[in-house]
Parts: sequence; structure tokens; C-alpha cells
Amino acid sequence: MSQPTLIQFVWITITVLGTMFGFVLAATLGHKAFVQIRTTYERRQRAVFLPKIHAYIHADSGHFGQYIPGPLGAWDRRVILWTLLEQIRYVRGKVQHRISSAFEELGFVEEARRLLTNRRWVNRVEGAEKLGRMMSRRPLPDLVKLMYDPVPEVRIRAAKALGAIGGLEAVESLLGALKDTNRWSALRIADILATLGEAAVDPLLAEVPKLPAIARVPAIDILGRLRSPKAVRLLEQLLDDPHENARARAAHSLGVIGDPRAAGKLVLALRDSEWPVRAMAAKALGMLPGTAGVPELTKVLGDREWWVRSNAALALGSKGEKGYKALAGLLDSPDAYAAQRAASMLQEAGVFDRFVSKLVDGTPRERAAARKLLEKLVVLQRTDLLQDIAQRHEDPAVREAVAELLESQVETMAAAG
Amino acid sequence: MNWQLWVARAIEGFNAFVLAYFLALNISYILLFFVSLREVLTFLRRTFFSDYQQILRSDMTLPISMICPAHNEEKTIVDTVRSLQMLNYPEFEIIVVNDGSKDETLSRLLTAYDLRRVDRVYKRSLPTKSVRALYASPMVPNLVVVDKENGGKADALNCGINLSRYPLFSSMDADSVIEDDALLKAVKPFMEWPEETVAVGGIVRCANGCTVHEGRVTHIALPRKLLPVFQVVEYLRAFLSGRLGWSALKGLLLISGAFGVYRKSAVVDVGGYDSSTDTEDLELVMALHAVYRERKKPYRIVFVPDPVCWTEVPGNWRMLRRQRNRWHRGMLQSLSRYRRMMFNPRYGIMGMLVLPYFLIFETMGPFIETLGYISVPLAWALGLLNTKFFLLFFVLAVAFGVFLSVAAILLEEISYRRYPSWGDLWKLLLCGVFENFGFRQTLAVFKIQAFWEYLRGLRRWGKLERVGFVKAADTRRAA
Repeated sequence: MSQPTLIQFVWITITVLGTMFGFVLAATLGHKAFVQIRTTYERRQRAVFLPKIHAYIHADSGHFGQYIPGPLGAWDRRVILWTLLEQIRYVRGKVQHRISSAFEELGFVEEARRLLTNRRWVNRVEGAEKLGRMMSRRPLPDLVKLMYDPVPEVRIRAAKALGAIGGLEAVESLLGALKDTNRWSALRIADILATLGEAAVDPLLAEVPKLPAIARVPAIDILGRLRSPKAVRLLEQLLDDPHENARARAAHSLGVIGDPRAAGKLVLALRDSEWPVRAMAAKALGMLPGTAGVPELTKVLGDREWWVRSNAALALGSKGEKGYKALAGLLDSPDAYAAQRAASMLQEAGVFDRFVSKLVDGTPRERAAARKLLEKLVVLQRTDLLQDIAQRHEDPAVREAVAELLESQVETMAAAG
Repeated sequence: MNWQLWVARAIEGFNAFVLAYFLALNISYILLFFVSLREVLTFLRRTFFSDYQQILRSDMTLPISMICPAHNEEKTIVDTVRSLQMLNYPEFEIIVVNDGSKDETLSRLLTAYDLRRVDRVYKRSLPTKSVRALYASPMVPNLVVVDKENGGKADALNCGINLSRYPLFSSMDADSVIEDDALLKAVKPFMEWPEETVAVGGIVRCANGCTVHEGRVTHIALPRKLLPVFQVVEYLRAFLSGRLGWSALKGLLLISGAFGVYRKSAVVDVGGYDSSTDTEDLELVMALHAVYRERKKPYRIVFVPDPVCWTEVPGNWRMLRRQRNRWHRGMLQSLSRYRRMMFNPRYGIMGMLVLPYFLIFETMGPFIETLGYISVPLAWALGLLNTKFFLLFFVLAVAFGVFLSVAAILLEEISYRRYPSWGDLWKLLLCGVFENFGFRQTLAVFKIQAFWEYLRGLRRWGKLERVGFVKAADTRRAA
């Protein structure tokens, strides 16, 4: 390539680049200026409108137009829309109804409804989201129709709107949407169902057994989150579900509900052939009030799966003195894992700290019991805590007693080879 | 033909090559920018109404282990743990791995959190240097501190993985501050594509100049010194213009060690972090690509531009040189180790586009750029180039650099607007211009030095000297 051609080529490149640079720079500065001007304007107008909006929503009668007369510009309508959407989140009853009426009167409901049929999915999402927040029951049929939209995000927004408006008509659609394999969607729909509260329990109880396994698991989770005692019986039955995830989730939900009558079934679930079910049953038993299941949980500390053992130990740790006693009994277990795990749980629950104090200020019987327990720790070679106490405990008598115990035990173990 | 003519021809030929290479490099950057622009706009639309609160409330959200390796981090470690405690996430544990620090890192943690020695039973899935002690805090039940012998960051992360209880883990730097909702945002791809997602990276931003109060960035501002501001622009270009584009093309090669979330089973499956390289983060991502492509298993390695991690960047040239040397050496090591993937269609876009791109533009780029800086003026001095062309070429070189920087600033401006003031915007724009007069050229020289060190087999961690974050009280005092 000759030099004049090269120069021409470079000139063209610089011109193209310069034009693009100009666009990008103008877009950057223009965008910032636009955002700042609009934000400032909206802040000012919000301060003007807010007292009038409050006056309207707390009044017994009258149209919105009497408080803020039209015609309103696009930016003013935007300020009013978002202010009303913000207000409606915190109110119920008559005030909520007044705000819903304002949305209708100003045509916001109709605008959002039109968005539901827009070609771009993101606009349909916006329409559904706004309708859900406007709490108007008029667009319920449109939202139900939107539950069959090909875009998952749109379906979820429709579900959320249906849930927010509180139509129990939505429950069936929402349960249907749970069949979506996407965990994110399932989780959000589950959350929407959970917000429906007690009203959703009966339809859920009727629908859950009919759902396919993939939808049954999140539905069972919702039953737990609704914390309704009415669900206990069904959840107990679901502990025999053919799908292991459903059994595991049922066990967890029983724990969340916290009905002590479920302990018997959960104890049986500790013998399930699948370890996730055993793990969840152990966790659930820990969540139940009372001390039911302590002997069974003690046995499960020898389970071949670490998660089951770990949950069992945690559960025992939450059972108070009876649980601690069971854990202490495991310190000289031939199962090394069970013994070590029990020691960890007791250590983390602060049980050893209590026993250390007894070495000095306890009755002779308490002193002997404390010494015996702490000796087991040394045998398990769990001397970190004791060495720490021997060096740093605030009471010199305790430091001395623990140091003496450590020394004597080390000698005994050395003598025993 | 005499030798002078030969030299002249060689210089001319080389200059033509430099011009072609330079155009190809910058056009690829511009294409990547447009891919990123599209991706940012789509991402913003998708997340406009995101219900992160629903994840926060749910029992079904995947729990995460935060692994924070610390080696001589006494200045920032307590702030870092505090920022982790305040994360908005339903279930997570914090594992701080004290990797044989010689300063007060461990004792500061012991005091701040009233740590006590505990014994935990855990599975050693990955081999590591021996653990000296484990500590738990009665004040923060989900905090575990591991004191181990020094083995490097990779070894410390592997140790943290062994101790972690949850299916996902997040790696981070002890000198970083993670924003409250970073985990919520980073976990989203794991929830959307539960079977496929193996790793998610977040954006790293420069914390110099920002105010940190109780482990949170409370005031965002640009640093006063010029060198860190250049790096702010560079980070915006690298993350918003570069990684986002590569992620959209399914060719993300790097998840920053400062903040990333991984599926534990996938990482254990590839043998964890590799202590034998200088950049364990790059090595891990390449290993994941290699293994999943070889096994023909569907997978996703994703960059999400939203979850923010703030980190202190080098404040002087000496530290910057150390850091960049290490990064470039690490890249060379990994490219060499995975050369089997290069131009190999079995590895899809990784083998046919991403790795060749990194070889041609990232590895060879500094050499060609530096030689161009020598040969073009030389050709002009020898009368082989006329002044007009020389000046035009210079303008073009600067214009490309400025355009790419301003384009990255535009992406920031239309998306997250972390630097809200006009003053900060002008400062960024000016630095986007001035970084082309010295900063970028110096980085090219650092990379050549790194290449030389790589050939000599040198390995240095290149530890940065931290000054610690600006605290709220300091800001008030300064005011």
C-alpha cells in the first residue's frame, strides 16, 4: 500500500472513530444531564404533590382530580404514579381502595393493561408488575391469561401480581407455574404463594398430592412456611412419598411448623433409605420443642453420611440438658466420628466451660463428674480448649486445676503407652 | 540493493504490520464493546424489577461459604469480616483462612471476635498445608477462622473449601469490601440454571478514595492521586467492556479472585485451586473450561455486572508493576499449560477464539506495541515516513484508546452510575484521555518484564502494601 493511500485510510479511520467518539461522549454527557434534570424536577414536584396525595387518600370522598387537577404532563404523571405506587405498599383497607381508585381515574390501570399485550416481553413484565402493585381487581382475567405467556419472566410477574391482588383464583395458576424447572422461578412463585397466608392452605392441601414431583417439592416447602397446623397430617403422609426430595422437604416443613406431635413420624424418617431424608428428619427433630427423639438422634450420630451425623449432633445440641447428656455419653463411643462430633457440639455449646468452673467451686460430686468429663476430652486428644483455659482463664484456681488435670492425664496416657 | 535499503524495507514492512495489528486489536475491542453494550441494556431490563427480597426470604436459596484467605492483612481484616457479617443473604458462613501471617492478622481477629479454639471434623477433599488451629466466635456463630501454615492464596482457598459446609462457595480477597447484596445478585445464575452454572464473577471496583465505615463503602469518590484514577478507568474498561462481552459470547476466561462464586463440587472435581501458578483464579476458570468441554458436559461460567466488590488498587508505580507482573506471568503460565486447547475445535469458542485472542493480542500485544513506539518514530526520523502520516498515526492510536475508555465510562453512566457527581465524570473522561500518554505504555513495559520473568521461571507473589481504607472518622477529621 502506497503512503498516500495509507494516509487516506488513516484519515477515514480517524473520521469514523471521531464520529463514534462524538456520539459516545454526547450520549454520556447527555444521559447524565437528562437523569439529573429529571431527578431534580421529580424531587421538586413530589414535594408539591405529596401533601395533596395524602389529603386525597385520607379523605372520605372526592375524586383525585379535585386535589390535583389536570391536565398533567408526562413527567408529572410519572411522579404521581410512582408516589402512589410507593404509598399503596404501606396501607390497607379504605386508604388502599382510594389509591386503587386514583389509578383507575388517572388511567394508569388501563395503560398497564395495554402493556400486557405489548410485543416486547419487558413491557409485558412492566405492565404485570404495575398492575400487581395497583391492587385493582379489574385486570384479574388479563393476568390469569398472562400466566400462559411463553416468556417465563412474564409468567412470574403475572403470578406475583395475582398473588398481590389476593385472588384465590390465582392459586391454581400459581401451582401450575411451580412446574417450571427453573429454581429461581419456583422460589419466587413459592414466595408469592406464601404471602397469600392461611387462605392458600386449603387449596394447597387439595392440590399438593396431585402435583408432579418437581412442583410438589416447592409446594411442600410453602406448606411449612405457612406454618399451619392443618398441614401436619398431609406432611406426615408425604414422609412416605416415592420421591426422596419430597420426603426430605416434608420432614423439613414439619420441623418449621414445630408441632411436637410430628416427632413420632420424624423418628421413623430417621431410618429412611435416602440420606437427605434422614438429614432433614434429624434437623426437623432439632426444631421441635421438647426432648422427643433424643435416643434416636443419638443413634443417628453413627450414620454413614456426614450431613445426617452433623444435623443429628446439632439437633441434640438444641435439646438442652437432655441433649447434652446424650452427647456427653458419646464421648467414649467406639465410633470416633460420633465421639469427636459430640465433643465439638458440647464445646461450641459452652458445656465444657461450665464443667471447668465446677472443678473449683462445685460440690465433691460435681467436681468428680466434671473431672471425668474433661478427662474424656483429653483421651480424645481435644486439648486445645483445655490448654487455652489453663493459660488464659481469669480465675487462677481454675487455670491451676485444668493444668493439673492435663498433666496427670498426659502422664497416665504415657504410662499406658 | 544496499543494506540501508533492506533496513528501510524492513522498517516499512514492520510498520505496515503494526498498523494492521493495531487496527485488528482495536476493532476487536470495539466489537466487544458493542456486545457488552447490548448485554448491559438487556441485563438492566431484566433486573429492573428483580425480587432479590424473595431470595432473601426463601429457605430454598442455596447457602454459600465465604472463603477469605488472609496473609499479613492486619490493616483491613477486621473491616473485611465486618463487611461480610452485614451481607444480605439468608444463609452463609464466613471462613477466614490465616495463611501463616507474620503480622497481627490473627491476633486482631482473636481480639475483635473473642475467638476460641475449636475442633471440627471435616473432609480433606483437597490437599493443603497443615492446619494449626481452628477458631470459632461466640459473638458471630457463622464465623470460622483457620490458622494454617503458609502455602499461598491457592492453598488457603483449598483449605477453606475443605472446611466449607455449603454447596456454593465464594472466594474473595481479605482487602476487599463486598457490597451488602452482592451474594444475592451473584447467586441468581445458580438459581436460574441450577444444573449448568459452575462459576459466577462480579465486578471489582477501586476503593481508593472511597470512605469505608464499619465494613461498608459509605461514600463513593474517585481517588485524589492520578495513578489509581487511571486504574478506575482501566477496571471499567476491563469489566464492563471486556468481561461482560466475553461472558455474553460464553468465553469468559477470568473470574477475579477478589470476588467470585463457585459450585464447590465442580471446583473439587477439577482439583481445586492450583498453587503452582501465579494467578490461581485464571487457572481455575481455565481448568473448569477444559474439563467440562472435554467431558462434553453443559456448563456456564458467567459474569454478572451488578454484584460489586471494592478493592484497594496499587497507589504507586512499584506496587502496580508487581501486581501486573504477577497477573501477566500467571496468564502466560495458564496459556502455556492449556496450549492443547489452542486452535482446537473440541474446545469450541474457548479453543477457536478466546485463547487465540489472548495469545495474539494479550501476549504478543505488549511487544508489538512497544516495538511500534520505537519503529514508527524511527521510520519518521529516517525519512521513511512523512510527518503527516506519523502525526495521523499518533492521533489514531490515541483516538482508539480514548474512544474505548469513554465507551466504558458510557456503559457505567447508563447502568450503575456509581460516580454520581459531574466532577467525577469529568475526571474520569480526562483520565480516559491522559492514560494514553504514559500509563498504557508503561503497562506494556511491565508485561514485557513479566514475559522475561516467565521465561526465566521466576515466581513472586507480588504482595501489595496496603494503606487500609479511608474510614468515616478520618474523612470527618480531614474535613
